[in-house]
Formats: sequence, structure tokens, C-alpha cells
Amino acid sequence: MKSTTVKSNWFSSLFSGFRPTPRFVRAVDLAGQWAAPIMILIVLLVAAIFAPAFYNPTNLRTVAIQFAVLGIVAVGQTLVLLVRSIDLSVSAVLALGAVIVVQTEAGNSLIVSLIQAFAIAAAIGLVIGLLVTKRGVPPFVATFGMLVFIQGARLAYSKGQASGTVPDLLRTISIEQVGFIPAALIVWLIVNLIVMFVLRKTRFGRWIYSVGGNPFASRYAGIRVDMVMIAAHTICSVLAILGGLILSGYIGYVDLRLGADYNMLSIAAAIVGGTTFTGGRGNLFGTAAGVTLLVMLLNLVVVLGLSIHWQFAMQGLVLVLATALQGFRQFLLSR
Amino acid sequence: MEASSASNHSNNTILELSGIDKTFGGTHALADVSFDLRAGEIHALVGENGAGKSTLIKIITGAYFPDIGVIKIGDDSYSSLRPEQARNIGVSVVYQEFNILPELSVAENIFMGDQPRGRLQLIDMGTRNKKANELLKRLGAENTINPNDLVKNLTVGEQQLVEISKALATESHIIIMDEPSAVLPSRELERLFSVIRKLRSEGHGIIYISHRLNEVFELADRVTVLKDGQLMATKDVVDTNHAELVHLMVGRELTDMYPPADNQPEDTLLEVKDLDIDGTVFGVNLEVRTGEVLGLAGLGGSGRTTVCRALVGLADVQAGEITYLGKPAPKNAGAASQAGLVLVPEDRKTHGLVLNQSMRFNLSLPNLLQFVRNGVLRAGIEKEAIENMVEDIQVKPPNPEMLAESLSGGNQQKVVVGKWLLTNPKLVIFDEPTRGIDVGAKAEIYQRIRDLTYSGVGVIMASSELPELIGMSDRIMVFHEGRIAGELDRSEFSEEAIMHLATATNGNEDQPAKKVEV
Repeated sequence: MKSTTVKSNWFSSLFSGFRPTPRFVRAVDLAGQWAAPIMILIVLLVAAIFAPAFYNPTNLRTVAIQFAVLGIVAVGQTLVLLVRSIDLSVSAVLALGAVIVVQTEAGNSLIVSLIQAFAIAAAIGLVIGLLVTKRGVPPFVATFGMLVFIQGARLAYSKGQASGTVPDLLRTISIEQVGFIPAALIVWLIVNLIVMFVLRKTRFGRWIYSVGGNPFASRYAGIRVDMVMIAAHTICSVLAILGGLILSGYIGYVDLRLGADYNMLSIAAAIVGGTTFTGGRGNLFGTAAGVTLLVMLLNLVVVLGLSIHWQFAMQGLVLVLATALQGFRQFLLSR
Repeated sequence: MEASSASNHSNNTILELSGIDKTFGGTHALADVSFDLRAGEIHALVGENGAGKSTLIKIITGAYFPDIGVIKIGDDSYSSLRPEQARNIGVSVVYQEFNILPELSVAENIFMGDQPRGRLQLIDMGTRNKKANELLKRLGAENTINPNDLVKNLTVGEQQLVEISKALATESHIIIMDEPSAVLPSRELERLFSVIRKLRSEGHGIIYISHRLNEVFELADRVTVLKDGQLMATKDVVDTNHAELVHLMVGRELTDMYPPADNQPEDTLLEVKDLDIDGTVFGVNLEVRTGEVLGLAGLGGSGRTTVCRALVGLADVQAGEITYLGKPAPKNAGAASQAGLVLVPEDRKTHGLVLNQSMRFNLSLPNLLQFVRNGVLRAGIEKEAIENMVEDIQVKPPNPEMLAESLSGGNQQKVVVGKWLLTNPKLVIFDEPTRGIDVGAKAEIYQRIRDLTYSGVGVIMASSELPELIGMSDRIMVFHEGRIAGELDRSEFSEEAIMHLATATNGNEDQPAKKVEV
């Protein structure tokens, strides 16, 4: 090679020198898997230097509760992404749960309200699942339509006013602590352990990965692909409403904007944690790491006294960077 | 004869690869390979799956960068190429999977990258159609293909001509054809060959990849054999023969591809009566017995694959009865595999494997119930079963955690077969069991099918390769346009007899060609 004249333009020569060694690919691979944990450490360090108030116990408790809410919603979103779908309606379902409980509390017992809330969430998930599988509506469209519909229905029902007193039980879950651990965090932990177990140790878990990896081959292997997708969407909606209940318990009232960011946040958390948009890859450890990172960053914006709008810029940035890292990994593997 | 006519304008090398090395991870995909192509030559590239043919092609087209080596095109040397750079200096590929947009017209597809422009830089449709027609004329297809036709309405062979026209439109002088014959019904083959010869006579250099050695002898001037990433030989076709090429490819003699058929068919396993499916299959009757291989022949689109899918509950049956083990057959693929009725599908990448998961995951997929105790998957039970199966089917490398996408085609096919064997089937339906896999893997699959019949399993084998149908089947049923055109017993087997029934035209090939089923 050295003896011949090598003709190519600057761009090509820039890249022709760039042949990833197996070690380099592995490094990027590891970086992708560990991106979220590493970033978490960096953020913790930055916080210690520039915003020690972050470590204030009151603030840490706020972070823990935000973590629990987003963590629960992101578990559902991860399941949906794993089956190669997406759910843009989680924010609306989350807010709806709060409204149902708060509004009906006056007349009904809390148990009835809770059952109502979960039943409605399951029905929403079921409808989305049916639209996606039986009618072939793209998940983006089905869930976005559902988002707008639920928001509209909620506003019409609540007449757009912030209102309500949150039932004591919810306030307890969101505010009380078991020892030094907030109760909400325990709810998150239970949800995670159950879903992790299902994903790793049951047939349904294998089906989720299989359907996301290749729906056609799954069908040939005798898996009822439609059922798996409908189930994933139903679980996602139910978890979204659970997140909404805890969030409303923490905030203490319900307003228009409640939960509005959770579509973006739950998707970003899953993607940062290594779940792919193309389905069949990802796990809940990654998602938990992604949630931690996002919640800490969101909180730092507040603690550092920056404009709250920076939160949005940051969410978008994190999502794009995480997706870009995945893309880079694919590029390297294809070389 | 073909070879001698070509040597007139040989020795005019247009492409030269020397000392090409490429490794992926730990595997040496190409080791010190050299290759050259002359103007006005058809140079065949043969080798088993995983021999390095695709890697070599991808280096020429710029999809991969070589680790070491020089690519010389015309008078210029390159250490590596980028895809658009390769295109600009005249390299084109006609892939097995066409790179065309079905909803657009022929002319739009041909000039996809560079539509002829008129005033205001708007697309000049008149000129475009005229130019498209000229290209089609060069291929002798101006009477069968209209530039305004939508590509989706063309036969597979015609679509392939559109692909070739695309290559000509970019003024390519190096045209690579990746198994062009694999997708074609045999009646369209002759036209493809004459087009390729036409391109040669115009002075193009053609790299022709195929698994079918008789095509190499019919068409090519020189042939290069790769094996395990090594260059085995480059020879003039007139100086070699079939046996030598096989020997170079596999490194061993393959005397008996087909194991002896001394199996004993017994009880009826499956019976199909008057099966009608959605306007593609009409009134099909068939019967399979234990220990029997029933061959299903027929051109692409004749209903073979649809019937196979219907038997395991993967197609909507309009009318008719399917009886399996004396009872109505299961209605979905899950219940069918529980009952021991399984389909090894035609397209392993789309229908057979979850490519981004491990070999273990794929082998387990239809067998998860075996590994479940009290509703929980037991990793130990799974591991043992999978390790036994990996050893049994001889996948290389025998690492269950290897991703399915990183296996070669033959090994992927073994995994697909293995995952269904693990269900302990009573009736296995193989649809094109050896498509696009190498000779060695083929022989292993045939032996596997024969072993199944010895243990009393019934086998249905749908295939478009007549030699394997004849070599393996006890009976052959021939499909023609969704109906069974006839049934042949072992004593009546011959390629002519099958083709006669499959075309139902007494050997005249004047019918419109069929599209290949998806």
C-alpha cells in the first residue's frame, strides 16, 4: 500500500485511516452501555462542586419522588419500545389518573376511584394495542391521537381548572418514608422487580424481545404477536396511571400542565439506558440509569437557579445524544 | 465456445485488487486475496457461504474498507473506496434483493439518482422516457417493458432488467451481479444470460456470483474460487471442470449428496382435502405418511409456499379440510408446533430468525414451554437442551451466545432447522430448505431429513431445485397456478416430467412468467 499512489479526496482519506479495531468497537460498545452510569457520576461530581444544595436532604427527597414517578412510567415505555412500538399518550394517561382520583374523591370511596382509574388506563392501553395490531395504525399516530383525545376529554371534564384535594392515602405514599426511604421509591422498586422478573424469567418476557426483534419470525414461531403487543401497551398505560397517582399525591393538587413532560422524559430515559427505537434491545437496569440521569439533570437546572425552560433544552439534547451514540455504535459494527 | 469469443478483447484489465486483507472481530474474512477483471469478460466468483465473496464485493463497492491491499480501477489506485466514489468511477451492483421502488415507474427507477433535467431544473419526462427506452433497447427488452410501467407490475425477471438498466444509466463499466439467477424462474434465465452476454460484447466487465456451477460453465470466461477467505484459484473456464471447482470450493469430494432412500412410509399423518386459499390455491388434495418425504414442486407463485403456510395455520383457509393425526389440524402456528406440526420457512432471515438475538434465544423460541417449571423459565434446563442441540446440528462456532446475525447463511439455516427439531416434531415441512446455502451445509440438511424419516417423522419438502426433489422425495406433487398438476412416483421422476407438469405447456415456454411469492 505504501508504494502505490493512493488517490482519494480529503474526506475519504480522513475516514480511510479510521478503521475501528475490535478493541475500539468494544470500547464504544461499553461506553454505550455505561454512558448513563458514567454521566450520573459526572453529574454528581459537578453538583458537589457547583450546587451543593443538591445534596440537601429535602432536595434529595424531591429527586427521589420525581425519580419514582418517571421510573414507573419509563418501565412501561421501555416495554412498549421493546416491542418496536412507542407510546406518546403516557403523559395524558398520567394526568387523567390524577384527575379521576381527585375529582371523584368527593363522592366515591378511594378504592372505587382507584379501580376506575386503573380500569380506564387498561382500556386505553387495550384500544391503542388493538388500533396498532388489528387496524395497522402506526403506533406514533395511534398514541398521539390518543394523547390529544384524552387531554381534550380531561379538559372538558375538569373545565380546565386546577382543582382538587388529593386523598390522604396518595399523599402518604408520596410523602411518607419507610426509614429514610420515601414510600414512592418502594413502589418503584416493586414495579421494577416484578417487570424485571417477567422479562428475564417468563415466556412472556422472551416473547416481548422476540416480537420486537422480528415480528414475522415470532409469528412463524407460534407467538401471538398481536396479543404480546396489546399486553405491552396495556401494561404501559396502567403504569402511566400509577405514576400519575403518585405524582398527584406529591404535588397535592391537579393542574393543566401536570405530567406534560413525561412522554419525552420516559422515551429519553429508556433510550439513554440503551433501549433502541428498532425494538428487541434494552433492559430495565439501563432504563433506571437513564431515569436517574434525567431526573438529576432536571433538578440541577432548578438548584442552579437557571431558567426552568432549560429543562426542555436539556431533555432534547440528552435524547439526541443518546440516539446518536447508538447510531455511532451501529456504524462501527458495520465497518 | 463462449470463452473463446471473449478472449478477443481480453487482457485489458479494468479492475485489479491485490493483497486484500479484511478482518471482522477475530475472524479473517479475506486473507491476501487478489482478483482482476478485464473489459469484455464475465468473471464468475464462486465459493461456499462464508467464503468471503460478499466481503470482496463490498470492498469493491466501498461498503467496507480493506485492512490491507490496493484497489486499482483503470489507472488509479485506491487504498479504499467510499460508496459514492465507487459509483462515480463506474462500479454497479445488481443485488439479489432489488434496490428499486415498486410504486414508481420504470423510467423513474432507472434514473433514480440523476433524473434528466430540462428548463428551470425541472425533470424532463420526455427525455427521461426516451433515454430509458434506449437503455431497455440495449437489453433487448424495449418490447416487453414500457418506461411508464410501474415496477410493481413487472415480473421478477423484468425488475431485474430495470436494475441492470440502472447500472447502465450511471455509465458503469464494472457490473457485479450477486446471484442473479437465484430469484428467477427458469424460463427467465435464458433472457438474463443473453443480456449478460450482450453487456460483455459491449465491453463491460461483469463479476458473476452464483451457487450454480452449471451457469458458470454456460456463461463465464474465467472463474475465481474462494474458500474460508482464501483465494483458491483463478482459472479459465475452458481449462477446468465441475468436479475440480467443487473440490476447490469444499476441499473434499462430494460423491453422495443424497443419502439412500430406504425409508418405509407407513400410517397417514396428514390429509388435505379440497383446500382453497384466498384466490391463490384451488382444490388441493394431498396426503403425507410417517417416514415419507413428499416433494412439492412448482414455479414461484404456483401456490407451494402458500399451502405450506396453511398447513401450520399461517394462511387464511377459505374452504377445505386439513386432518392431522385423525383430527382437524391446529388453527395457529403455536398450537401446530405443540402438536408436532412445524414449518421451516423459506426465508430464514425474515421468517426464521430474530437476527439481533443469540443462537440460544432463537433455538429456544418455540420450545420455551419445555424449560418452564411453575411458570418460570429455568436457565439450567434451557442451557442443557440448547447445548445438546448446538452440538447435534454442528453449528460453527458452537457458541450458543453468538448473535444469529453474525452466523453465515448455512449456519443460520442449521439454527432454524434446529429450533424446530427441538420441538420433537411428527411432521416437518421444509420450504426451500437449501436456498442460498453451500454444498457442505446442503448435504448435512439432506442427511438430517433422511434421519427424520427413519425415526418415523413425515416430511414435506417444497423446493424449486429439481435435483434435490428427485434425490430426496418418495413422491412429488407438482403445482401449477394454484392447482396440483400431477403426482409422480419415484419410478416416474425426471426433471423433464416435473417441468412438463409445472409449466403445463408441453415444454413450450410462452406463458407469462410468474412473480416469486413473498
